Amino acid sequence: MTEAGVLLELDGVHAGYGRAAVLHGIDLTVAEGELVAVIGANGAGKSTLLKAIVGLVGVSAGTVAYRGAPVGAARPERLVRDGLALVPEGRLLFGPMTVSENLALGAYGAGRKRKAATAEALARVHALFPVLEERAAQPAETLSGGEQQMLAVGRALMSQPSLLLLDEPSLGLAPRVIAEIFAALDELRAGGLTILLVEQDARLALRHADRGYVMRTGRVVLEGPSADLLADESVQTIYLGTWQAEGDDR
Amino acid sequence: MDELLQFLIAGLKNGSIYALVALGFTIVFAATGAINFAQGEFFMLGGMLGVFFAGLGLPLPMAAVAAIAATAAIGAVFELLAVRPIKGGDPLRIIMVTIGGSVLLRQMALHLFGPDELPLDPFTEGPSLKLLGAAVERQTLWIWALTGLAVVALALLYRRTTFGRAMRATSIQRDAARLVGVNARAMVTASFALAAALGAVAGLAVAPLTQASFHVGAGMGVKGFAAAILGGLGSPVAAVGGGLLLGLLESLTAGYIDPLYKDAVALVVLLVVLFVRPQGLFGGSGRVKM
Repeated sequence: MTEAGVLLELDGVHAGYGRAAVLHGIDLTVAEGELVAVIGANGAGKSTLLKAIVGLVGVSAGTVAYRGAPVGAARPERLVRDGLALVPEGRLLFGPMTVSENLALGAYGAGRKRKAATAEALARVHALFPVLEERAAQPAETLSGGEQQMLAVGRALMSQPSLLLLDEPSLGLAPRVIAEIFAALDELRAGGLTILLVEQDARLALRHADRGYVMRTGRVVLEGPSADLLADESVQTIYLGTWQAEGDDR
Repeated sequence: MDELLQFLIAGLKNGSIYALVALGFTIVFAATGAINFAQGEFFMLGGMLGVFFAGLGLPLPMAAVAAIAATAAIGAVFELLAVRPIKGGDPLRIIMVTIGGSVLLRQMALHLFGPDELPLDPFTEGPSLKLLGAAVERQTLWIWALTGLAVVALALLYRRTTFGRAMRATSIQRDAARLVGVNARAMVTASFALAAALGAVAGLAVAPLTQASFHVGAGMGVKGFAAAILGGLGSPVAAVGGGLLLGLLESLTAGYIDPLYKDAVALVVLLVVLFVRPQGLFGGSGRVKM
């Protein structure tokens, strides 16, 4: 990984809500074209990490740099213009609005002045998730969970991002739907899109990612190529094999 | 029968005005989750500024447009100076600030335009028209036409324009709107400007019948608020429904019970709705749908 190829770099990032710190010095890089997964149990700070990157949560110390430039106190509405799109936890769709309105709004910041590019982006989203074209006139809140997740991904893609951030895309979905969504992510990645994925299902995430970071209580406790993490004994015990038992303890 | 028709006409006339003011409450509520108690003052400013611009020698249509534009600008500046600095956009604090703002706007109008009631020419001169035996003032037709126009324009804005969709998106899911590039704070400013413009249209339309005065805002604020609550604060359609219904209730109360009770109707409606059906007549889940 060359320095020039680094798209996103976090250096000692501390962040949280008000005085409650959630992240305690996160170092993380994502190179152009990579699919990077952040795994960890519920409450490890994975979602806060993504929110801190886009500016929905304040960074109290450390830097977040995108394309080599610190984003500082950048706000999400500006970052999306620079090619950074987040598929948020819980999807946060515009429920009463139609599927096509949701997608059109996805292009609001980035593609507003480029109609042709927006039409192309829409065609690509429809090719990726044909069901969104079938349901174009339906209110987003009437879609199934899987379709809603597809719409959330599609809406983010409408801004034609260089870096796509995804927060728990598999949450609450049936295995068949999860497979469909991750197949789409593989396809996007093959097309050159850089992806940073936060996922509780560690095995699923690592199977699709190039590299992974393991988070625990706001810190990165382990990082490396996905294959190494999948083979790592401590990861296997805690996150791949017996993690459910750990969950039962709480 | 003629009597009833006359009451219905009067009710729908006042109801249209309440509907416009209620729309203003609904729009700001959707954007901020707060009640803008300065909404009535935008109604007052519409009439006062209309008289002011007409007094400068502008033809009435131009004076009307200038008054609406100026009131919208005042609404936007009010948001920028008083509402935006509120940390975290806490609705309760916004409500307090708008109460203070209403007093400020009222006193400024008093000092700039004086304490007198100021007349504004009717939009079209001439005797009342006859409708199935009842008399309809020409200005009433203007009120209905302007209310209808404002509602259609608002619906087109929300449904057909990118800007309007961004406003709706912000009220539905603020963080997600920001994530797609919508400047959520600008949308709040826009909502105040839009609410002010609607209030101004109402103030202008009714000024030839009632005269403009610095003190009419508070009373209209209560009526518009009651109409918005009656409708359920949920959608523009609910606001219009609440406004028309309140106007009819007032008119029928004045006609068949006692005109003295007319102004009490809004307060009774407000209390009954808040006690019995706080989500309003047309409110479902308590969720705002623009």
